[in-house]
Order: sequence, then structure tokens, then C-alpha cells
Amino acid sequence: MLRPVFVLAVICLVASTLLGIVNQITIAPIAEAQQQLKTQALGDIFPFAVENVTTAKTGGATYYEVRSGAGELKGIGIETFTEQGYSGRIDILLALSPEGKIFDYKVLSTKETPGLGIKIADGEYRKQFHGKGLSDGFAWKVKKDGGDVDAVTAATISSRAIADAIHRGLERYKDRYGATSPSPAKGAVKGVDAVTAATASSFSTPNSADQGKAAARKLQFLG
Amino acid sequence: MKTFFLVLVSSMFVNNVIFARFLGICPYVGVSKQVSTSFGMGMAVTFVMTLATAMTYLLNYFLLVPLKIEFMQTVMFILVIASLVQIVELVMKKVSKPLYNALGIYLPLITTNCAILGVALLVIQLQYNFPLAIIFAFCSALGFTLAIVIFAGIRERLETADIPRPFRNVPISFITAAILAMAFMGFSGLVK
Amino acid sequence: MHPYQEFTKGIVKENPVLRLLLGFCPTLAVTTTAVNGLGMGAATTFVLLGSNIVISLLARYIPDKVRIPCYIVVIATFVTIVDLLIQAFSQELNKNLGIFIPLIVVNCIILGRAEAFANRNRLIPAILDGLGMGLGFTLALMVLASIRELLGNGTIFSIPILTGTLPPIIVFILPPGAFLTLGVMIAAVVYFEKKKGA
Repeated sequence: MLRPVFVLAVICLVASTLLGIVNQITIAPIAEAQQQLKTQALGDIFPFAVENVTTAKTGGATYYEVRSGAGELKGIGIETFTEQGYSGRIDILLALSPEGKIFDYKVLSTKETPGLGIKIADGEYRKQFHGKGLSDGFAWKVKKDGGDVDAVTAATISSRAIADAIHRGLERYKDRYGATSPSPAKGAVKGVDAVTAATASSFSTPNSADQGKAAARKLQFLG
Repeated sequence: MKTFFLVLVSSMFVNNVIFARFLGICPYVGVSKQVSTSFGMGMAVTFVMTLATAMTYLLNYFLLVPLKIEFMQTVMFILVIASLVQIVELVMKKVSKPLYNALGIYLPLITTNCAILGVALLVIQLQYNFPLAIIFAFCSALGFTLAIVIFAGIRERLETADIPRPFRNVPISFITAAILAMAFMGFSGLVK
Repeated sequence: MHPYQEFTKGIVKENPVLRLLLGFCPTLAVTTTAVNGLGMGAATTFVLLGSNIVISLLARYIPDKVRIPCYIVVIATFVTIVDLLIQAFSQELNKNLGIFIPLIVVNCIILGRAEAFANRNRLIPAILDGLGMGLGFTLALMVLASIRELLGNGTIFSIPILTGTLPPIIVFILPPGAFLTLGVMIAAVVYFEKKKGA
């Protein structure tokens, strides 16, 4: 009667010990891989090299503060999403200037139709948002709904969704940094639950081609 | 309220477990010869999926996360689901004979139904809160029932159709599923 | 049976997906690109091999009553190891395969081989069986994924092949294309088998 229980218990014990060990071994590489993925994503959407990143979580939202070597705030990355995509949820990473103007965004995960709705992730489409913010009188709706957002041809719903996602991101910016531009000092930040510093020297620097693109993007942003 | 409705429509139609998420294909092909049996299977899945998601959700947030052993998720979830199915079977047998006669035979098949574990893992991944997770599980299961019952209806007709020999049984099931999946794609964009 | 046959039977004659009709969920879900198909195949082969080895060694110590729970724990352990390794080495693959990595646990091929083969055979045949079945599964996934990627995106392993000559038929990388392609593949296998038998 007791033997089956004993055998099962022994197997469970061995299995969980083994997993504990494997987990211990992989925990650092996994954290590093995830961090690298994030830095790479941030590097793609900021018009400058991303080296010094601080991660902060406030009220369920995640903020990535990109600073220069001297500690000056150069940009803010915000994770945001929408549930209104053509095929459900779309997650994006939004790159903002310290004043809350959009540099660019990156679609992190989506199931939008390949060839149609997925065009919301294309560079051509993203251009229209460069330099826009909450307080410019830019209406965050597609033109069909009386807003200012150009829609992808034959993919109004995806476009509407991305406008919603960006708008949510800008609201998140406002929640944390207020309507006025924040001072680069950390003390000015309100409502911080947890701030974790995650600076690493191994952070990727964009290659020269990317830097060219970034420079072009920056010019466009300024113009 | 709006989120609840979004999750409801999304999990039942737009991201139907079978046609969009590819979960629970085995019972979909295996237990769909008759409308009545497939409905029984659907109900058994609905019952177990809702219960299992509730249990694994609580297990995850009250045991695994506080103890920082999230890596045990897969092992713990599958064990909970397997024992839950056993317990449900025992309780059902004692408490309600008619219910057991209706659903009992499907229960052993459910342990290896990947839709159950899949949905339990999805609600964690999507970071739903508890009520939303339950609604998601319940509606996903209803979506499963809907898909399997529609398919059984078609399959009953197919029995009498003259299908080219190599396409009989499983291949024609998949081709029918392809057409049904296209029909379900029509639900995309319903949520806006 | 000759040891060599234990290995080859899984590839064609008893191909887990196309002949034994097992493990459809991951087969359909991850085969949008050939790389994903290969990744899933490799991960499943690892778990299959591991569980076959352990179960063939332990089978005679495990009482019949708790057989299934014990097998599930062994399989889930290997799945978690694969999951952690993929997370550490390829975040991209991890993202593409998503919840289908933990779902290898409920892939009927693995529990099926444990029940039907590993628990009543010695170590060497169990290893060969695991490798053969894993390879057969991987091959089926790669063929399916290559067809879908080629027709749906014009590429195989991201190498352009049809790009420019044939406009991509997007439906092949969407869910209906998965069902359609697999249905036709299984029918083709049945057809050729019949022809050979006659």
C-alpha cells in the first residue's frame, strides 16, 4: 500500500531537486538574454545609442529611462498595448523624448494579418507619429473616426488599435512624468514603487548603418 | 465591463482555442463522430477547464510566486490537472450518477487534452486578474464546444458522402477544419 | 526486431504525426516557418529521448498504480529543462514557440511511447526508439513548415525562393493553411502507402 506513494514521492523529490539545480544554472543567462533583448529593442527605436538604461515599474506599467553617460535623461521607453487589434492584443514599445514626444515605436507581439494589418509595424507607417505627443492637438484616432491618424489601406481596425496603444502609452507617460517636462533628476519622478538599476557595459551599440538611419530619423524628427 | 466583453468575444470566437490557438486538436478529431458525444465532451471540458484554471491560477499566485519557484509551473500544473480530473471523476460518481453517465467517460481523456493546460498557462502569460481568468477559461471552453459540435454536425453528413479513399477520416477532418477556420477568421475585427 | 529497425520505424513506417496521428497541436501551431518547425522538433526529441531513457530504466521499480503520475513527472521535468535552456539561449525561439514549449508535456507522442514502448524494453532499444520517433516528428514538422513558409511567404529557412515569381498566398501561414496542408499531407501518405501495398 505504501510503496506506490513512496516511489511517487521519491520521483517528485528527485525531479524538483534536479529542476532547482537547472534553474540555478540558467537563471543568470536567462536574465541576461532578456535584458539584452530589451536593450536591443530600445536601440532600434531611439535615434541615439542606448547604453545606460534604468527600469522602473509604476502601477503596472514598465518604464525604461535612457540616460547619457553623465546621467542626463535622454529618452523614455514605455511598454504599452491594446486589446482592440484585428486579432486581439498588440504589445508595443514606445520611445519618447523626455518631453513626451514620440521618436518611434516597435511592435513586440501581434497576430495581425500578414501583408495587411501587420503594416502597422512598417517604418513608412510609423513615420507619421514622429514628434507627436499628447498636447499638440493631434487627435489619436484614425481619420475615418475624425482623428489625425492615417490608416493602413484595408486595415483600419489595426490602425485604430495602434492609435489606441500609442495613446495609452502617452497616458502612461503623463501618469508618471506629468504634463510638464520632467527634470532629469530622479527626485522629480513621482509615484515610484520600485526602481531597479540595470546598467551593463555589454549593452549593444548600433552598427554604423543603424547609426546612419538613426541620424536620418533624428533629422526628420527635428524637421 | 468593456474588458470582460472583449475577453468573452475574443476567447470564444476570434481566438477560438481550436481554430486560432490550435489547442485540443486530438479530441477535436477523435471525439467528433456524433453531435451528442461531442457535446458531452464539450461540457466535460468546460467543467474541468474552468475548475483547473481557477486552481492553477491560485496555486501560481499564492504558492509558486511567493516561493519564487515559478520554474516548477509546468510540473505543478500538470499534476494538479491530472489529480483534479481523478477527483472530479470520483466525486461525480458518488454525487450524481446521471451526470457521471453523461460526462464520466470523457474525463480520462481530458488529462492529455492540451487545451486545459494551455489555457491555464495562457491566463498567467496574459497577466489576467482572477475574475478575468475564469471568464477566459469558461468562454474558451465554450468556444471549444462550439467548434467540436459544429464539426460533428458536418461529420455526420460526411459519413454518407463519397470521399476519395485517401482523404477519408482524418484528412477530410483537417480540410473541413481549414474551411471552418476560415469562417472563424470572419470574426476577426469583431472586437473594436 | 533488429535494433536498426527500432530507429527507422519512427521516420516513415510509424511516423508519429503522419501514420500514428499523434501530437497534432504543436504540429499545426508552430509550423509557420521552417526554423520554428526545427526548433519544436529538436525540443520534443530531447524530451522524448530523456523520458524514454529514464522510464526504461525505472519501469520495473514503479508500481503499476502510480505509473501514469510518475511518467508525467518525469516528462514534465525534462520539458522544464528544455524550457529553461531555450529561454537562456534563444529568446527569439522562446517567443515564437510560446506556450507550446511547456505544452510538450501533453504531447501524446511522449506519454504514448513511454506506455507503449519504453516501459517494456531495455535501454538501447528505448534510446533508438526515442531518437527515431523524435526524428520522424521533426521531419514531419519541417516538411509541413517548409510548404507553408514557401507558399505563404516565398521563403524556406528565410532564404527567398519564390519571392518575386509567385505572390505569397498568405492563407498558408494563417491557421486554415495549417489544417489544409496537414490534411493533404496525411492523404498523400495514405495514397502512396496504398499504392505500394497493391
